[in-house]
Amino acid sequence: MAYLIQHLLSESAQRYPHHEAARFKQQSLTYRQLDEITNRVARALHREGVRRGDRVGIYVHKSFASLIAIFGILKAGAVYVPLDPNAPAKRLAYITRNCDIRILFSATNKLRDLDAMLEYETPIEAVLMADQEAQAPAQLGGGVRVVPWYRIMAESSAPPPDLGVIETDLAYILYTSGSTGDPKGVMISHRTIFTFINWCYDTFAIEANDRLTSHAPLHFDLSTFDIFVAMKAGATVVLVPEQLSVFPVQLVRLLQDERITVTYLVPSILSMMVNYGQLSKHDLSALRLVLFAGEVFPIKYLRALMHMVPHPDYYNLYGPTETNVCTYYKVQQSDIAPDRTRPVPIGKACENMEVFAVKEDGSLVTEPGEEGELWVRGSCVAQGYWGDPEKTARAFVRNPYQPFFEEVAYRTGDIVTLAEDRTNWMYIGRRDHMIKSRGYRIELGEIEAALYAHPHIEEAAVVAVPDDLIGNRLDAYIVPEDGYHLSVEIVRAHCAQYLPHYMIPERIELLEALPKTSTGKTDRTGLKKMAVGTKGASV
Amino acid sequence: MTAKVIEQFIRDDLLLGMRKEPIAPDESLVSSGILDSLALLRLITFLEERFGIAIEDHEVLQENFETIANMEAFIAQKQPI
Repeated sequence: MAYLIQHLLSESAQRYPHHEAARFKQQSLTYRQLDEITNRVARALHREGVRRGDRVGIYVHKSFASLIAIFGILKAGAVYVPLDPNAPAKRLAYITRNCDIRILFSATNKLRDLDAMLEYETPIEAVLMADQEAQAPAQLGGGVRVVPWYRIMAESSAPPPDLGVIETDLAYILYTSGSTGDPKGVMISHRTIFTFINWCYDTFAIEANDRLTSHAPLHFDLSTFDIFVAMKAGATVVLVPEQLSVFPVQLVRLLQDERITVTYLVPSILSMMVNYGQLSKHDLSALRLVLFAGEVFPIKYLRALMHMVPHPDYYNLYGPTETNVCTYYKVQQSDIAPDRTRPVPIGKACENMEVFAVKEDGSLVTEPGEEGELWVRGSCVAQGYWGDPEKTARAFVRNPYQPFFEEVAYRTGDIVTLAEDRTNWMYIGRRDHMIKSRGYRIELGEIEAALYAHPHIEEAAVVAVPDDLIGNRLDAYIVPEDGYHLSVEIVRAHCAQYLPHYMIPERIELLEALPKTSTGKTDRTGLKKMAVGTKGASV
Repeated sequence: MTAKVIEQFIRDDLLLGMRKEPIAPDESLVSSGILDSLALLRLITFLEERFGIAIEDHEVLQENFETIANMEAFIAQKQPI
């Protein structure tokens, strides 16, 4: 019986020992190889003193080492904590202190960054090195031990002893940005991730001959779909080198050359592929399923994508890290009709999960058009934030609509409305993106949708800058279509056609591109900093 | 000459002077995190204007932009002699 996420790998290794489990840069790893290597890693971790429930960090660039680390750590009965390989050392050192990471899985190409991390206070005692020809020193700064790869490979390949982990124990912790500045660690149990994986496996009928991309970095929850669903199905996961996000044509070529059947990407990456990926010049006939999540997909790029690559099914998945995916929607042709500007719905609750929306007065949304905050219940809900009972208590609350026993529900902070069909939910915006200016209630998403309606606006983001006089000032950042001249006056006149005057951005700035976060979303925090920085200058 | 110009742009405009030490011609700009999708677009615009070349979508490849040396070779091959 598979009840821990690592069982998926071991069971597929029994069934499909010689099937490719993973591919990376034209190399492959079979299920048996991955199963045996990760047994050795688990044993090496035990030798280093790792016990059930200990947190072990993963600090590598996307490669076979990522998979080896995940399953090695889980098989050791421990909890994996992915560290963003491109994050500043100070932030990573904070994470190692926050959840007490004493053992880290890393690679020689991170040695310089490791040294930088170890200059800060951290509980790290030992680092396991994931590469074969590792010429790593025996010790790092502060006397941190280095366990070279050959020592790991000297361990037995037999399954490590069962430490009695059960499904309600933690599998991993993902750090997301916190509103107060320090990242917060979302705790996910085996049961929580299983709920999601079982749902995906059934809903998308993933089979052993499917080939999935693994594009998202490990610290982003999109990564769990590709890796764990592939392992469950005995399918092949094709790891996308991080560099390819920068080069859309190469990403599209990978989809073609690796005969990818299923891909799960953030809308910004898909938009980049639409604009610069030369999609129509590539053969993507193997592709049967395109999933996207993480941010609103501007309808004009979704439309363009579905025209260029018409044969796959397209799904919008929704859910914060705290619930993984909790709603889904299969995109219909009518959603991309030429006159349509509204983004596609986030859909209805996934099977074995329930969502509902709570209005400001505490009652439930029951009629189309009513707005409320989306709440989620079910075993898909995370176990809270590591070491932060206060923040946990604010977002993971007792479900007031369950009078008979205590049950936790997660408040997403996302405002939704029920669609006319009384089945699907429409995303409206963040509870905390709802701002007031001159007393009016304004959703920034609505302004952005209006900007995207302009045929020559390629990207747009609106941020609210606190202002003593009017509450909030609106700044818009616009990326015009390549080679097209847009002026502030044109954009403002365009806005006036779509928006009431109080929603027209006061400041409009034209950029060559919008800043992106490490996970590929528009960097709103960065934009806001830019906006605040130029505050006085714009008057 | 080309390499110096590119390095200068990367250090001043992309890294905003945050990097003190020089960038070696063969240093990978992608795996070191210097070049992301946004920085690459800005770099392309700069190279097009500075060197009077047109860079097509299908030329925006790792082999042409991975390092400063790659870019130098790519530009040399684009420029009329």
